[in-house]
Amino acid sequence: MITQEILSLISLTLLVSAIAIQSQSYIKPMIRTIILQSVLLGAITALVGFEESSYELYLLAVLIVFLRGVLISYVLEQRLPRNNKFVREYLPGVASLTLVSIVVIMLSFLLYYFAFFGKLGSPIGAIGLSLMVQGVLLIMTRKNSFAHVIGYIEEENGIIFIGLSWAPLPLLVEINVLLDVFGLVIVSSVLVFEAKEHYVVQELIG
Amino acid sequence: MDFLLVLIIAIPTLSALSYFSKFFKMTTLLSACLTVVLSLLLNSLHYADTGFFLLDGLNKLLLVTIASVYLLSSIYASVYHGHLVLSKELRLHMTLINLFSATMFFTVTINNYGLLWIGVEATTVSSALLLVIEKGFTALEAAWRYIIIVSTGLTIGLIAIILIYYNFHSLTISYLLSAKRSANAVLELAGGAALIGFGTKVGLSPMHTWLPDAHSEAPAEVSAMFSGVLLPVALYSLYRFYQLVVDPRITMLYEFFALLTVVTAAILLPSQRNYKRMFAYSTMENIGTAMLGFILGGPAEAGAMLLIVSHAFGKASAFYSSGNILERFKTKHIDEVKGLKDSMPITGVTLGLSALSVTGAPPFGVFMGELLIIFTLITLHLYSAAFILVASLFISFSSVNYKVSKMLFGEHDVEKSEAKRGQLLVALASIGLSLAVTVVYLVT
Repeated sequence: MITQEILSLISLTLLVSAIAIQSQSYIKPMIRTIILQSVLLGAITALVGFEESSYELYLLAVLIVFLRGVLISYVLEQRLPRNNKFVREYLPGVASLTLVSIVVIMLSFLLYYFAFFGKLGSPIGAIGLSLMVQGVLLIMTRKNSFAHVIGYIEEENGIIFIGLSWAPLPLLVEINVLLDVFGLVIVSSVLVFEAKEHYVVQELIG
Repeated sequence: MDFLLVLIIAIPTLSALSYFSKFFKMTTLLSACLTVVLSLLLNSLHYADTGFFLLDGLNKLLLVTIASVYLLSSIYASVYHGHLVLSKELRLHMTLINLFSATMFFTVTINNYGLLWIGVEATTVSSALLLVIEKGFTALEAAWRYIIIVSTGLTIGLIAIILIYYNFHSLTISYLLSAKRSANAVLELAGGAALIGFGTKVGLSPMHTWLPDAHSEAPAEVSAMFSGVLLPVALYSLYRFYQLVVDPRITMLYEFFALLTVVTAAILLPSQRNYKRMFAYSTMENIGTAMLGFILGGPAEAGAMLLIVSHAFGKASAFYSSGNILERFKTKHIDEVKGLKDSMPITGVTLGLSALSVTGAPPFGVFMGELLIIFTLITLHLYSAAFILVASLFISFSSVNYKVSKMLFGEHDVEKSEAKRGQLLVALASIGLSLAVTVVYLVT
């Protein structure tokens, strides 16, 4: 019972971290918040593992913290310019975006209620879906490469959470998914170095 | 048999290590040749499913197609990028071509839905940097769009896998496809999530936006691999999900998106000014038609397979020819390329034939495949769908061939000068193979 309450509480902090990322225009705090979100997800995985007495989930929790909380954040921070750690995206209407983000969370809950809840139960899964949608929203509203990568990691965090609340996938698949995402972030970080912001390109219209 | 399947994945993976050797080109070519031999061997043997791998009539042909385009693209790359000699860029490029091929072999043979998703995602990881060998600004932007849009979409596809596991407590493809199953709401949701997720990689409208950018900015040999084999591999993955979901509503949804993709391509093709983008949209049209064939089943499924294989070689030839033209004219604008029949006669022939091949002109396999799909639509009394498909195919055929004929004929003020012999041979071999597919189909 107490484990369930702790689980719900930590799960809600995931949503708070998603809103914090949306309302941030400085890149370094965004990276730090996604690290926090990944570590919280690791804690949730460990708690579910404790409840289900599953050593596989303990291992998955360690991998989430190590790959997302340590390695990915290291890779991303290494890509920030050394002489200017206060990199920011000049973005008008961050306050409006925060409001949009909250409205989108509410809509995600409604979507989950109508599309999934009746068939799968597990009301907590709505948090995973909201996290996924927040990741997609971040990718859609930002022009900065770092923000895109962070949005993608957030979306992946959401899918892991959904997996935990519906049916955790076999460990072999989960580990490979984590490694795949890690590989993708490495490749993205190579491109981040070359193109930091993205605008409309004439040659790519039509 | 399992050993052969392990080999076909392991050989290109190991040859990626040739990055550290000065014989990296030779190693890549040797690896590609070996995979062609292995894929032909696998086609001739009867396979019993042993759990980890799955090989049936569907993916056997895909293996041969992937291996052949891998070989053709490796040869083309080593000649086309010859000026880069032993540079780090070319080493990385060839290494990634090997890894990209290995991930495609893995994806089409794996017998697990979860690992299938991983395979498709791995094709994105291994191919994104293939776009940026020369690090142009537009190529970088296209690579970024490719990696972000496709990965974001594929994550939604992972929902389908969780739902399948929730429903069956297994992800083994052969086991699930042979198990007794009935339509239910969870599987319906899985079918929908797979359509959005894997549909992004297939290039289904409206999730297709990465496709023309990536195809137009990638080097010719990479565009050929993307168009010829990567999209069919993604379509194969999506079809494996479709096979599992037994639901008429999902069938309608899949048919709708397949048709929407064909119509979108037909609407966008007449306004194209860039010949590589034009061929990219043509790929959308071909893949949409093939998807429709797979969904309809029966003769249409055979037609879709024929279309996929013939299109792979035809479109690869179109992109190799485009690479030759780009190297010579330094432009991708259709209006700035004229008189190819005189200035680049062999490239002109390969471009013209490949355009005819991919737009469904007889006697190419694409024509026969499309005919079988239209025939099935009429047999099933789906007249409106048949009409929309025929009208869209007609618009696409006219647009592509009109634009290509503008490039072939017309006034020109450049001297006659062909591309390097290796590049020409690859383009000729590729269009020859597209034609050979028809002969093999009619004979067997």
